[in-house]
Amino acid sequence: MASVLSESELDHLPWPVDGGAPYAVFTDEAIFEREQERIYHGPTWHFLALLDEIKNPSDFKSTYIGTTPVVVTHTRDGEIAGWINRCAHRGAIVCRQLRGNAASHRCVYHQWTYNQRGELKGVPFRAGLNDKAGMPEDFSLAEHSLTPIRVTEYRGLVFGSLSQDAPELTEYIGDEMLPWVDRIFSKPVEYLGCTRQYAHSNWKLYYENVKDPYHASLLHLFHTSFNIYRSNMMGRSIVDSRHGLHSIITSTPIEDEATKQAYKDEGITTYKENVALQDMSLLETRKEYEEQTSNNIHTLFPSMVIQQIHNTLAVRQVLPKSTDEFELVFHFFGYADDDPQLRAMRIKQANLAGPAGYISMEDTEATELVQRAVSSCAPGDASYVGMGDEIQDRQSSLITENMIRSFWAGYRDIMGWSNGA
Amino acid sequence: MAPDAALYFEIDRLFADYCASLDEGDLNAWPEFFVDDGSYIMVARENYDHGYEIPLVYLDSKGMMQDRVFSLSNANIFQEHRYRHAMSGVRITAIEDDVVSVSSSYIVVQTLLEGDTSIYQAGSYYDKLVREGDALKFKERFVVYDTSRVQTLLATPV
Repeated sequence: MASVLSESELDHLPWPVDGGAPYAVFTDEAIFEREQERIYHGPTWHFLALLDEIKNPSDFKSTYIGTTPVVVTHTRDGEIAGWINRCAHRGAIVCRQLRGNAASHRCVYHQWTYNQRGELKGVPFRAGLNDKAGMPEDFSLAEHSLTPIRVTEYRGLVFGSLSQDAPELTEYIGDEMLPWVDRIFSKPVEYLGCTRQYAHSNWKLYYENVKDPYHASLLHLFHTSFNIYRSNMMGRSIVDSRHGLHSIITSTPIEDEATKQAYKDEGITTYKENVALQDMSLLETRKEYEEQTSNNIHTLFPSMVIQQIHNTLAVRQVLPKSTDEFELVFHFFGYADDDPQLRAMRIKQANLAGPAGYISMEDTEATELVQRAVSSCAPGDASYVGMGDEIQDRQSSLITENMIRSFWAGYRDIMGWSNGA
Repeated sequence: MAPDAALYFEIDRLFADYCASLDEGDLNAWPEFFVDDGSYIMVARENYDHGYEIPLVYLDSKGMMQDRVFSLSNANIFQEHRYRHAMSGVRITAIEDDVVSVSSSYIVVQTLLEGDTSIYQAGSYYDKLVREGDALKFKERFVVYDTSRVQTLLATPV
């Protein structure tokens, strides 16, 4: 059951000294509200869509920034615009479809009509009827537009922000993380559809999960159960050193001579050691990048994970719904220049990731196991996140919880709980 | 020519056996409802309606189905759960050469360990059935699920 801390209890929330977080951050409604204010309405950028989802003029998509409903549109003059999906009249949802193509957007309640930029263009009975009633004489359409949001596009990704204080997007992503975005979004992408997973747990448990390479081979047993091993893997775990909130995990098989030859001969390789799979086609991969990472899990705070697992590519959008619910939307994509064989591989490899994925379905199960147990916690109860704190070369270890510790440090900062307070 | 009642009856038996195997948790029997090069594909209605290809599950051989069963039994971690299928609206939509096309609706309710039952998924089956010996089998089971928000995860096929 969700608790509600008082303002003073919130300000004096005790944080553990050895990493980890007080369990109240997963259950408390006052903390959830503060997150909406300081994170989602704060100086942050949020993934809204792949540009390809709204590629034609007048295309639109409705989604969320935190719990705030927003719409992003491709205007007829070729720009990207966004607005809060709440009628300026009496607060109804204006756009009632997930996606589509529309010249204008009309609230069904009283038919107030807005253009693609969210500017009010028409109000029925504005001058009244038969000389009676109507809007006040000084009523101005321009003063009753939908609330605009900041939107920006970068390499086929559309982002939105509810804050005027967010820095430019590239600065927000930062010098350490930007090359990893550029690596995946190096050429035009094509949206292939989405799958949605609804988890009964707090959104930050998912952020812990995607920053946690320690669990990868322990919770996800698909590879080990089928004896699919790569003996030599090179790992990376890099945290944005400015605040700790963005991070990336990669693992890369170190190619032996035989593998290199296989790539050279047919551009494709499969894992061949001790295979127990009946049908190996699932594990056929194509080399696409200079360094062919087998996993690239890139977390941008607070609503986006860029995933490359073998040849399956997706942007996972993380949407908080309440203290103990979040939605995960996997936006799958390929490159516009995919040949049919590569595209078919991406479709088949969707079996690996997503709500039914062989190496991802357990993640929400794990976050729910935590949520169910911490919902009855005492005020001082907290997690312990100590793995890998003392290693020197942090960026090359995958047996570490360093990225989770950094996440909590950054989270404390943005939420106004200074470290050591 | 109207398909005869005997064929409808045979399809009804196949669907009943299929649902019983999943509802009784006999997962190993599930791939046997398909021919060797059969396929089982799940796509969200949201994607299907817009022509987007990405599947939730994509198995295009009996071997892949057996791999899924092995993985669910040995590798994947999920809450113990029981399905209960309800089906309706079985329609033969075409009979061409030896392939019978059938569409139908399903609802799956799920019961978890502590005893809650909830509607887990609703959707349509679009099937292509062929004869293998005496038995009618799935050449293709294309599942379009309406419940695009998958609650927690999907392990067991529907």
